[in-house]
Amino acid sequence: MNRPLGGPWITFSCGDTDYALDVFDVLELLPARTATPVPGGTDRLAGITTWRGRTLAVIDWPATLKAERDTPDLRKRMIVVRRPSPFALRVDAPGRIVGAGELEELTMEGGGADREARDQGVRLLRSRHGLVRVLDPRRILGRGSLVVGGEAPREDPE
Amino acid sequence: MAESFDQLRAEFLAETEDTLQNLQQDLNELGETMDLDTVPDAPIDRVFRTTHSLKGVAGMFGLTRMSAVSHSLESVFECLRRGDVGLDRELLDLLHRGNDVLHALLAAAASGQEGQEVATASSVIAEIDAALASRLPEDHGVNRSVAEALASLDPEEQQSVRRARELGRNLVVVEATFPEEGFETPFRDLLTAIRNWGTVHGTVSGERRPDDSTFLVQLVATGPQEIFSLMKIVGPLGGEVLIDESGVASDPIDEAVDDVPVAAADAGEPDAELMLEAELQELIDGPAFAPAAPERAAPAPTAGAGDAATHRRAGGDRDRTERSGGESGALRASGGKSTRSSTLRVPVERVDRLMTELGDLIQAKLHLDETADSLLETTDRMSRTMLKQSLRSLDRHIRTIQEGILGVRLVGLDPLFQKLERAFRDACRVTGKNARLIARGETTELDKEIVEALTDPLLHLIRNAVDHGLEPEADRRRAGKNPVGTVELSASTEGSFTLIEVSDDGAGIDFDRVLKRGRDRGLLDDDVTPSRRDLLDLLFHPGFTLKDSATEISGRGVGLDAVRDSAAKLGGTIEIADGEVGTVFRLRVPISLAITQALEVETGGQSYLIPLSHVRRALHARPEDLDLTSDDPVFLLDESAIPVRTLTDRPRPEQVRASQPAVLLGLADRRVLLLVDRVGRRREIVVRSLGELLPDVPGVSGCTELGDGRTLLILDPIRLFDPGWQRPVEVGA
Repeated sequence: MNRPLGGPWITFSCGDTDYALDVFDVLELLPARTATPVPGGTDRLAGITTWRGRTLAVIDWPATLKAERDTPDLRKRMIVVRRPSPFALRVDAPGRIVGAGELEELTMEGGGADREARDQGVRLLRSRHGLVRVLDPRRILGRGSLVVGGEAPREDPE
Repeated sequence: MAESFDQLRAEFLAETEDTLQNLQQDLNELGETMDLDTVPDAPIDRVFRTTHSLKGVAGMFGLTRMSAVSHSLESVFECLRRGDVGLDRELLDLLHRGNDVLHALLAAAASGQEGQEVATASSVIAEIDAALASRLPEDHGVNRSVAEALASLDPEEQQSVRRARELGRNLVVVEATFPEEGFETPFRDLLTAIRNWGTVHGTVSGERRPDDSTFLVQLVATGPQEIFSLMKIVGPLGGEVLIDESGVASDPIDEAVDDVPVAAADAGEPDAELMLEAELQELIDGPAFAPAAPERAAPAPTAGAGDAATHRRAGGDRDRTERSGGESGALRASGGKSTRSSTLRVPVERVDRLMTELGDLIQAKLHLDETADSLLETTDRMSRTMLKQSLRSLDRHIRTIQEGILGVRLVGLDPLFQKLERAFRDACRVTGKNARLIARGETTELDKEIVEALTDPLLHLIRNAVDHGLEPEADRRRAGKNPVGTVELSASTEGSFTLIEVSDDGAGIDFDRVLKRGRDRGLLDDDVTPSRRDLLDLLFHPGFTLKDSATEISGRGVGLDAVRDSAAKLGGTIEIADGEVGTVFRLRVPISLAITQALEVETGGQSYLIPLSHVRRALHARPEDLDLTSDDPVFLLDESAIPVRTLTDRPRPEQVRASQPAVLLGLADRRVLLLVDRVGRRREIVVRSLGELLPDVPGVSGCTELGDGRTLLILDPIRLFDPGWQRPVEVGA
């Protein structure tokens, strides 16, 4: 381990892969719901949903990683992420809360999807249940507009 | 204490907005009447009082530049009141500029950037002072300038002032007018009072006024205490405190005067901020800072005494002031507390928060309605009745709250109309056109956010009317028209919308010229004869202009398209009409942005909402009335061929049902038939943005959550279907 792990984390799965977000970056786990598609939305944008009176962009995480996409119109669980401004992350299933003591950081050396993941601030950790990819919420959204022809959201200062 | 001071300062800044708007109004009034034989005194008196009070209160809050600009304006109006100078266009323009600078200084102060606009302020002060000096007769006995007073001191006195300034003392000139006979006692009282405050370095004038047997006396003084406290002392004695922050380079002590700290600098001196707060508190609780001296025999009323007398009038002689919440901030500060209870200033964010909460409340009510609908099927009759009654009662209360909160956000159009009036005058000056502006309906109210968003579009329309609409005077004469052109600006309420019209009595639109320019720019094919409507649409094309070269106010091709963009963003429309005389622009915007009515439609398995403002009617189209075979599919209705659209791709004949659901949309003066799969309910909706991550989605103006939990997009028909719009979008694609 070459840096503090932080945590604890909430894990969730998309397809066969487990991911994790720092619990302090998670505002709420939402029950399954359908995102409303937005015209011109990029692959990353599954649509919008309403949460506590505010509209959230729903991010399709596998699509962001350019991983194989599951059926987009199924009702899905969502995680409301705090930063850079609240948005919903569509996941297959939320997992559990894990502490730093349960995880060990690994170095990602692979190419392809792993490189994509590394570029997006993903950290690879190992737990006794297998590998977990920890996401940096500020980099989940990527750069540029979520809508073709739309304005890009304001950059969040690191 | 510090918080209390900040609150009072914030309140002063907010109220000064009103003060400056009133000032603008008075300057406009003077502009309208200055060519008459008799210029009315009332606006001159009002501006004098306003600037005088503003000067004092701004200085009290440490806004020295604002105080200095106000002082210059006040000097001009004092001379106008006395008849020492006359009002002319050049001077009026300078006064307008002074007011503009005050606006800029206010904005800078509100954003905590007091250091900005210093150069502009100094420049306008110098110009106003120079303009006034050049108009005053050489033997004019009034020497109101602190700089001049300082220059009149002998070197020893100047050195004494300089030393005091280096110690951080506040510098003032106290000016007072005394009767020729028996002036000794009041003069001595004044001198004693100033000495109780600080040090008197010299007496400057003592000149005798030629017109009324009085003496004008100026006393140069410095002191460690707040200038405000001196104002309180000398006001009842007929003294007026002059503060000079003009930075006039010729002044020998100017460098020391510039950037005068308001607070006393010496250790051990009374805490200036604490004193100031105590004094400010007194504004609320007790005596005013420039109290009248009615009991004192004062044959020649000074500015201070005159103020108090006229302040009492100010509340009553001016409807506009009363409507905008009583006397202006500066006037109110000196006028006592009678107007305080009538209005309450609330930060916009608080109202916005309430609005958000109201939206959630309505949302919750919609959920409750849905739940109740299912319950009603299963409960007994008595329970059903009670539930229905409770829901109706809840609905009534929510509506009352909704109307109340929406009402709080509503503001009158009069401040905007004043800005437009100013822009109109400037445009006339720049173009050399002689015209008058007739404004109607300035009391019409609509949402503050909408009023702000309307400013630029309307400024453009007004300038456009002068520059493009009105003909030059010679042309009007040749055409047998009144050489003075007329532009009309009117506002009226139509249900939940406001209609704003800008019309002119010019020559109207030169369609031949539009056609030629359109063809020259490749916007129209040579072999097609466009309709007048198509040509009018060209005027909204980005970059389109009829001007051969850009001028100071138009001709850059940036304008009408931006106006239409702004209207669309507000959920409104703009249309242009070529009337019998001149041109008319009609801008229609909702009164409020937050809650509106919309029609639900379904297409491609997705539901959308269309604002009712764009819905002419829902209908079932017969296939025989639809011609979908050509590139421009149309629907025949009332002898008109109306363009047909869908939300996905181009309409195809094989998709049309025997009775095709459709919505007839009104896009300003155009109509479009939108084919849909189903027309749903008309709904009252809480409009929400798509969130910070989706700041601009073409073709979508917002979204809403329905009672059943669904989130629906609200379409923007203008941006979707208006042929003049440059960003076609396929929503359902």
